[in-house]
Amino acid sequence: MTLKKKWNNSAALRLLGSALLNALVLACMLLIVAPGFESNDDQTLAAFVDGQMAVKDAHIPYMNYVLTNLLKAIYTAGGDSLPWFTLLQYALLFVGFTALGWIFFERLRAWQGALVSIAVLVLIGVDSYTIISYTKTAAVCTVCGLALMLHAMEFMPRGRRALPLTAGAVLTLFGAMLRFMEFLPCAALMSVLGLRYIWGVLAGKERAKKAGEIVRYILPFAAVLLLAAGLYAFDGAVWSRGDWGVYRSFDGSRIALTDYGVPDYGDMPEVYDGLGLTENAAELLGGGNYYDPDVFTKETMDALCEARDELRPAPGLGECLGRLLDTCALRFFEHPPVYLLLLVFMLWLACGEHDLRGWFTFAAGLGLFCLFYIYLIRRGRYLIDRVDMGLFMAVITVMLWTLDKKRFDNERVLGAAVLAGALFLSFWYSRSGYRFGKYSVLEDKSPYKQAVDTLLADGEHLYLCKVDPLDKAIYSAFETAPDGYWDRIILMGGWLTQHPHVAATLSDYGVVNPYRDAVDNERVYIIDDDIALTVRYINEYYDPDASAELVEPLSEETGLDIYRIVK
Amino acid sequence: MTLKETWRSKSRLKLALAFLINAAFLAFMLTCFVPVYETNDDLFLSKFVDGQLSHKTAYVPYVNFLLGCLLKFLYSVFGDGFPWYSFCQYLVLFLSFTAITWVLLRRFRLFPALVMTAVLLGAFGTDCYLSMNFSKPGALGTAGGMFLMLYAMRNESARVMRLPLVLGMLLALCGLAWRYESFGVCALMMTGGCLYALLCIFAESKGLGTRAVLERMLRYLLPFVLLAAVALGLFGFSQWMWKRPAVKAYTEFDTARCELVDFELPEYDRLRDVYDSLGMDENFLKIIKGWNFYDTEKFTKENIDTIIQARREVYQRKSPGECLGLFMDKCLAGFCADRPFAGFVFLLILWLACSRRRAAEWISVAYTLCLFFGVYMAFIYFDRYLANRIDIGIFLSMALVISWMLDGERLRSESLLLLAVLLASLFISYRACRGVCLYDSHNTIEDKSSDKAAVDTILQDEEHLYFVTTWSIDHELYGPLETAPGGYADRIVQFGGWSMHHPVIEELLESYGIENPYRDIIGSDSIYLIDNNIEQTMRHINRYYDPDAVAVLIEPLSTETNLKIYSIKG
Repeated sequence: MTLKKKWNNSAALRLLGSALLNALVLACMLLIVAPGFESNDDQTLAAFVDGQMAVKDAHIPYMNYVLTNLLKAIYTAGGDSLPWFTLLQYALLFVGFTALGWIFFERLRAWQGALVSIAVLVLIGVDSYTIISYTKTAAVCTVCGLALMLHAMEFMPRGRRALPLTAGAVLTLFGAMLRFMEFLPCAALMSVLGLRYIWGVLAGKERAKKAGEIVRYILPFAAVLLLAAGLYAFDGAVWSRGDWGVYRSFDGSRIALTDYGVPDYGDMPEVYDGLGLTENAAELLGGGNYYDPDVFTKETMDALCEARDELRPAPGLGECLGRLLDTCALRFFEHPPVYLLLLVFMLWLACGEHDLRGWFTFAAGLGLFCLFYIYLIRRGRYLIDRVDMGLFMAVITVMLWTLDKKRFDNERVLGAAVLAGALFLSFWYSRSGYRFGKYSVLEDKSPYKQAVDTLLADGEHLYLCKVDPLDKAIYSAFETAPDGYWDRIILMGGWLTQHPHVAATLSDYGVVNPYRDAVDNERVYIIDDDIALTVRYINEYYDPDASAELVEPLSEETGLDIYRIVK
Repeated sequence: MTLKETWRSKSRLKLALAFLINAAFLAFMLTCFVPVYETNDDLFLSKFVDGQLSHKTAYVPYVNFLLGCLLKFLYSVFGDGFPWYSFCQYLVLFLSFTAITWVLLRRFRLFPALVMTAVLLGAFGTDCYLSMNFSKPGALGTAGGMFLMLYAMRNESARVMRLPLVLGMLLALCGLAWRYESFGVCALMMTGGCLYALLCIFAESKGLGTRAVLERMLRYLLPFVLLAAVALGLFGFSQWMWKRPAVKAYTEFDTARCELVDFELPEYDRLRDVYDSLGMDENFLKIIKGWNFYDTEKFTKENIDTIIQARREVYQRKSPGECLGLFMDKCLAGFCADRPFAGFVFLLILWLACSRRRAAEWISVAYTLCLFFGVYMAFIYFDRYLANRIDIGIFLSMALVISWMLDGERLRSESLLLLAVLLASLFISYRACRGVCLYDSHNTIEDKSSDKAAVDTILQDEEHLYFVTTWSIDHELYGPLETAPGGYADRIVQFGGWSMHHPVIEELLESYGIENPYRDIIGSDSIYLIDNNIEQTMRHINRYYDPDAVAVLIEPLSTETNLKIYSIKG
């Protein structure tokens, strides 16, 4: 039997081919590009279980409690020296992309599947593997998991569906547990393929059989959706108890205010004054340094939110559409996924299904994307790469679904052009992260790491750190932050403000309110890039005589501005 | 004979429909929208012939001398009450679009041809008709003319259509007359169509000897070579006319000026020694950047040449990598904001879905795209990129070349795609035009009547000559469908700009006894200066000509006209 025949006859061989292709591209990627995190989110999430806090805790915000318990178990069993969170995300990404590649190999000819897989890997894979964000991983899991399920239900005989269906469901649920709010739009976009299948059923079979087949088709997806909803509800229940509930409620208000733009003091001075917030307080709030449980309370955040929404009402539908077309359509070009969308669109034009059902699939995918984006614009949270990538990937998968392999056969030159374009664009947009070459902008972070080590070597003090002064991307994706980091260096704002675990750490040093209790506290230092503002704030609210004193030689040794607040 | 059969057999019916579609579209544009000039270039050009100057001249900068003669003739014979300048532009644009529509109607079935026409009119027509610039008839004439020639040479009748061929050539030459740079770039881009035809001839000539194949190819190329030769001749003639003794000095000066101010003027600190040696201070550099450089002692050709030379030594040209970076990071997004690019993209979409994509098609498309990339890299290298009036010709030429390779049969089976393209094109065109739509609440049309009244007030004052610094009066006061008042440029002279040292302007200044406006304005009772930045101007005058000179605001004229009008007292 020739390799070609074996390839055509064996799904396992095609799966192996997909896995090998993924492994090869991943290896090349890691050799060339230095992986990092897109934002400080992932490292902050991992801090709860990876040893940065002495007591591991599965109450990690935004991820599902079931998944965080799994992570905690892995770190407890496997030790803190390996970056398990990164490795878990890599494993999920690898499985997801392998599944997607396998579907292409199943649906298309070998060269076509390889071409499409490589294009997806170099334009979306590189973004996911080397600029890691749990939101992107959630999107890849959701899209690939659902694609696997859709493929099993649409193209595989009933007896052979179980394994891909289960694997797809598990992958999808990982997506839901990683970030439910990314899972939802991605799943909604992928549902277009379900509708496409139902269209086919309605068009082709006898009426009596139609309902049964549609119900049978929908069932596994409904089960996964129910499970995801159950997990979400369970997570909500866990986070609603006791102190966790208080934190969650505060954090909800904090998100509503800070993620959608904190107005300047000058925009609504009466409101700030009415809430007892001075201009300095407003500046601290705008900079994200709001860990003052006496001043920046949930009630204050809610009141500010309400006043802001009155000041800046959500844009109308026409304005949202205008922003989508005038601003977003141009800014999408700053990230690679939109280029993959364009390349796949070219393939779709040349060899996609152009019948009514094909057009419906295409138009529904694109239309839903626009609807979601208009919603995001209306909410005021848009043009965020880690969110957009998942939406683009879902639309791309929908378009790839309708490629016709026979028409594709005649498009070798176009295929080659698409591949060349994908490789070039991938190079272009990831070149700043290359390990070598003149375009690389990688920094040597060892002085920062040394500074952190110096701080951690000081067993006597707690360091309260403003949000900006300490580089948050010191540790790369495959490094582990030093043990005890978060027990000793606490942010004066950000996500974890008023998190019970952080509050407990602070209380060990006699601190409940960092701004108030740092005054004249010999065990507390402040790392600050705008100490004048901090002192003004403390003078206004807590102690008119307080002043800051630079701690030397520590400041000089670490290159950080470290202060103690004295009377 | 059914209507369908009549349609297929009667070529004139298609011509009539092409004419009607374009006439209706132009009428719609002119009645529902307010056309404007894209820049102030056209008002400055037309002033040499349209009565703004009492001494009309055919030496209109940048357009071909023959066109200058024609414009002068039209204004002289038929009077200055009709905007012949913009009429000639509209004529070339209208004929080009009609020619394109006619070819499309002949090559494809009615629906695809109408969709493509709508796409081209929506993307290019709206832009040309509503945002006019002399570069656009230059580009459209060339692209439309060559498109007609391509069709005349290879069409379904398998014979050369002589009349369309000649008309196409004439149209392309009109393009050349309006702007030879636009002609050059568009003609270059249209060579993709020639290449495609040659490849088709090659493919069809299997079995023929090399000599026979070459003969067929040369026969095909002959009209295009002829066009190039005539164009070269016309260009050479115009250049020769501009080198005649009466205008030679102006031509040489203006060439140097263009080279200096059309590209980056080095900051004072970068070339301090050079500027100091030329007696130019930082303030004068700002004046140059503001285009108010009519100081005949400071802004001389020799000084300009010295700065250009020094700039060459100090400034390194962009490397190919930098050009590529700008192309990828800036231009791609810039194109997307440009409506003509959408026209090209829509044709590319149709090509992807409805072309046979044989080797000839692939080679021609690859050649066209590479040519575009090369041309644009050159634009970036010379710092002249993302200018809509230039890009429009390039994108139109590419769109036309691509339309040449569409397969009529495949287009027939893509009704949904055609419908989607049509709707998307209409939507994009409408969004791009609504700012100048009379009936859209989003329009940003300004009422300029008070500014025009101010100009009228100034022109009533027969005792003074008014110098005006750039943008101290709105230079886009009069649209393409209006005529500027007679004698406007006789009385309101720019303090710099293109026309510096133009013989007619020199003659005008001489009649007021002015050699150097910056110097001779001081203490003159017959000269006023309209200036929004008088401090800057006075700094220059005080430093170089009269330390005691002061600007005195002329009242009540300034209040009446809402302009800043000064007399410079010594």
